[in-house]
Amino acid sequence: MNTQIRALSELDRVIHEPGRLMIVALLSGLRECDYRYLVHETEMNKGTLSSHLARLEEAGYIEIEKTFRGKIPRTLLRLTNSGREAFAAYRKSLKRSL
Amino acid sequence: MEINNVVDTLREIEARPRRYENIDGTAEMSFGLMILSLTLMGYLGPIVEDHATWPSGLVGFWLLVLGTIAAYILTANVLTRLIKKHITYPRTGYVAYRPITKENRWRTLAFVIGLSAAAAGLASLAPMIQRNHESSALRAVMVLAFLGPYALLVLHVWKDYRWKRYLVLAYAAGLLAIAFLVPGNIEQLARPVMALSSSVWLGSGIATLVAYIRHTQAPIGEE
Repeated sequence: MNTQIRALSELDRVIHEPGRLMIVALLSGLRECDYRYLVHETEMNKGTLSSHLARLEEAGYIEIEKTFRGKIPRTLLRLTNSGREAFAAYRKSLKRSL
Repeated sequence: MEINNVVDTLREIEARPRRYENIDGTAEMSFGLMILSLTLMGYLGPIVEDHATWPSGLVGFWLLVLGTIAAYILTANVLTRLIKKHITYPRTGYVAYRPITKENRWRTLAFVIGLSAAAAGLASLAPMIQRNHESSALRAVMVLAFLGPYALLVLHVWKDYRWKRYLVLAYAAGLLAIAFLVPGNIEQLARPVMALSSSVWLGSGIATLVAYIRHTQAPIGEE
C-alpha cells in the first residue's frame, strides 16, 4: 500500500493533468504533428489547448515550431527527448501504483 | 479501479495516431491497389506470353512482375500523397510518424521473418494438397488468407464504421461462393478471389474517404 501511495506521489504533476496527459500520449507515438491534429483529436478549444501546450513547452517536454505552408501559418509540435523520458517515467509510476 | 481506467484510456489514446493513418481510407485503397495489380498481373500473364514482342520465359515473367510492382508503388504513393496533402491535412491536421527506432527494430524484423516463414509454410503445402484432388483445403486457406486481414481491420474500427461489418459478411459470402462454385486449380481460383478482394478493399477505402469528407470540414484561415 505504501509503495502504491509513494508511486502515486511520484507522478509528474505537469503530465498528470488530464488534458496535458492526452497531448503527451498522442505525441508519444509521433515524430511531429500540427496544431490542427491536436485540436481534432483532443476536442479541446484552441485557448485551452494553447495554455496546455505553453505549460508543456515551459517544462521542456515539447517543442513548438512556427512555419508556413505556402501562405498559411502552420504550428508544428513534437515531444522532446526529456518529454519522452518524462512520459516513460510517468507510465512506470502509474503502473507501480496499481 | 480508477488507475486501471487511466491506463486503459492512455493505451487507447496512444493507439489513435495509428488509426489516423487510415482515417481517409488511403491505407485500404493502397492495399486494394496492390491486390488489383496482382490481379492484373494474373490476367496479363497469358496475354503477354502470346505476344511476339514480349520476351519469353523467366525474363518475361520478371519483367511483368517488376512492371506491375513499379506501377503499384507509383500509383499508391501518388494517390496517398495527394489525398493526404489536399484533403486530410487541411481538415484534421498533418502527422509525421516516427521512423523505426532501435527498440522496435527487432520486433519489426521478427514480425517480417515470422510472416515470411508462415507464407513459405503455406506455399510449401500447396503442391501436396493440390496433388490429392481439387484442393478443398487450399481453397479454405485462400478464403481465410484474404478475409483475415480485412476482418482484422474491421475489428479495430467497427465502432467508427459500423457499415464495414456488413461488408465483411458480404466479402465472406462472396469468397465462399467463389470457393464452392469456381472449378479448376488454384491459379484459376485465385483470379476471381483477387478481383473480388481488390474491389472490396478499394471500395471500402473510397467509402471511408467519402465518409471522412462528409464528416469533416476544411477550415479556412490561420491555425
